[in-house]
Amino acid sequence: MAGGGGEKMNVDEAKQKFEEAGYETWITEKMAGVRNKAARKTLWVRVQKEKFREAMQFFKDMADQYPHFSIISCTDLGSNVELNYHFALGYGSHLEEYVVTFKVSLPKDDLEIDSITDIFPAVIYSEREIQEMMGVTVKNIPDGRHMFLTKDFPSGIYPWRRDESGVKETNKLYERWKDEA
Amino acid sequence: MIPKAFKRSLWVFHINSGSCNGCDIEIIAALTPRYDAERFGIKLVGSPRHADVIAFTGPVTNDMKDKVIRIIEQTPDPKVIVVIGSCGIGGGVFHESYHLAGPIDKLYPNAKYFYVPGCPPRPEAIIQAFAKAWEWLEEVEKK
Amino acid sequence: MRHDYEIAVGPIHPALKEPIMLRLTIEGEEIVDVDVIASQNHRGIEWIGMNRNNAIQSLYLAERICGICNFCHPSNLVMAIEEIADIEVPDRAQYIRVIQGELERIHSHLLWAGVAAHEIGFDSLLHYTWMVREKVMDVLEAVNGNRVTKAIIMYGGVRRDIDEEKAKLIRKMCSYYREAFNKLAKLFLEDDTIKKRTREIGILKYEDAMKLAAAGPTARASGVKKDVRQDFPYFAYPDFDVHAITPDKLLGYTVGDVYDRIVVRLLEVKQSLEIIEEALDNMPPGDIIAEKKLVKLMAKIKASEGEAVARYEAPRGEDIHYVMLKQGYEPLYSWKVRAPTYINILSWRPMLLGYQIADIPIIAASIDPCLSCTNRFAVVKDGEEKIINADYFHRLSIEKTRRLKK
Repeated sequence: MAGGGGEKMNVDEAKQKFEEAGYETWITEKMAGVRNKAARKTLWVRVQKEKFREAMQFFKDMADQYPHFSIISCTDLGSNVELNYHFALGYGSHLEEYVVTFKVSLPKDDLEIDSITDIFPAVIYSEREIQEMMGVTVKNIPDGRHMFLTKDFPSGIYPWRRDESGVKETNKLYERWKDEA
Repeated sequence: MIPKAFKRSLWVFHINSGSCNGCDIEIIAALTPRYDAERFGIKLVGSPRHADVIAFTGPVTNDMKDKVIRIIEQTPDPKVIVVIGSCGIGGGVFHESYHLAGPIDKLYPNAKYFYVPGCPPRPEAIIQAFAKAWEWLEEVEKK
Repeated sequence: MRHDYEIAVGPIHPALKEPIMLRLTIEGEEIVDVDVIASQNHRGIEWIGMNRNNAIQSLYLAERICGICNFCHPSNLVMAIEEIADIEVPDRAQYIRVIQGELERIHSHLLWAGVAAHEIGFDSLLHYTWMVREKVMDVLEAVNGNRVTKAIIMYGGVRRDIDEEKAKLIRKMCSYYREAFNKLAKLFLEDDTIKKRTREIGILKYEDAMKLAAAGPTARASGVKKDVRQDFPYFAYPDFDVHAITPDKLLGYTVGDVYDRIVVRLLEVKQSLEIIEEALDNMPPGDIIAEKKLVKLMAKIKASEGEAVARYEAPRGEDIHYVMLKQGYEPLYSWKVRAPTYINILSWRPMLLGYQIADIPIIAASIDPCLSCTNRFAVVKDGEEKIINADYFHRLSIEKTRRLKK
């Protein structure tokens, strides 16, 4: 599992392994380079909420090097919230690195996900962030304080939401042109 | 700059209230050898209690509001604040955000303000603003 | 008897370039616990990009996420949207983007080297490096029209060409830096004081770097051969044979301390010079932008739908943006930015534990944090708060340097 040296698992092999384990996957890519063309690839893996921790453990065991955790992104899609766990795999292999993104969809009436800090310790800041920004409850999070919002930020308001719990009041003090009128 | 201004050094305390660093690196650039504001005696100091002028950057985030006001109150009177960069003056690209407390001159009106617009302003403009603040201080002293 | 003190570093402090607060628990001189409080600089940029701005306006907003690495954030946004909207970038633009990125790396690394020298009380070296840095600032101004924020990148290309005249300026700058580099390397790597203050200080082990997902020079200084330019194809980088720089390239071994981080950054300046020169030599002719008319471009982006992840090797490490577009919705539907410092501040804990208070400035600065500065500390002793200013901290640091010199 330690990095460096040897043949690395490429994106197609990783895709196959996920598919064998029963996950829905697809790859997107975009070409880069001028004289030496190469494609940057993203592997998307859809994971059911119930199987989320299992999938993360599977990913860590399957990978031939320690996956580099990047970030959790979060989108409000109306009736549900979609979490994307972005990882990168394959560093050290020239131009063969790829992004692995796990998609988890949570219904709005049950916004809860398991913490994976015990599997990937680096996710802690990101988990704290989705709690305050999207109102997702992360179960068993070791540190549940606010990360980027102030301690006294009104509860029940989540900046990334697109429904009634999104940001309603913004700061109008900057609108100086109104001072003159 | 008027020669009289060389009578005393101008000490500056730098407050960043959530700016993007663009103005902050230009302030340091103004102090280092190319622009060398230190030859006029303009110097960054580490404590607000020693400062004649405050160099203020950033649109004041909610979290920094109380802290910057506390720091400004610690500086000696008369309080002179040079606001550097567009976001400190009117929010810049960040206006309307939910996590900003407001431009500093509305949060703390009892001070003399000088403004340096630009995103970020050039080091020359920053030095000129300090020179203006300096002239104003000398005049106040005369009275 | 055990006496735990709690020191709050920041939010206003010279080693931390944006307001952030470190709460350190110390026992005597030794640091035993670290906590980071990061809400001071939150401006709600993602919210603005998702609600107020259209995609082109967000480009200029992305530039103002960080004023120092103001090319990497818009680059990521551009790459993500080009992937979603399927915009092909002209070859020449890809080369110009590489040159811009490397110019930024030079300016950022020299800036950091100066700050690092300041943190250990070596101010003449701060002034020297910043004087050297002005050369690249001049070139940036000549090429882009502004010293700091450049507004050079656009969806489908770049906004300004690098013609022969500008190329000449850049080449001149490269030869200037080749000379300056030797002097800088000698000052930073052979000076006894710097060695004593940085060797075996703030060590981040290989395993910790992997586990905490450290990025950029911070990870490479711990021996992780990871560099997005080497691993992940973007812009014209596949044309260049970029290899991740680890300290063993120069020294033959890796410790993972502050000194190694200096080595990595200095060698990267040299690497950037090589990439710039190679790019100038092989620059393909042709257009610099795919779609000149902004209205048409806007319509194309507005009609696109999908999601993409973009990565970019910023001077401080790997930068990632996730973007989702929805048909007919003008702002970005979803936008997540991860700057390198976001993940690198996790490494502060293992780096700081067990070291002395006087080492805090240089260790905190050694990851090149992108968080801004004001200078105050509060020492909480028996619940009573006593404010100590940065001068005191800085003085402690200088005293340690003097002590070591004897």
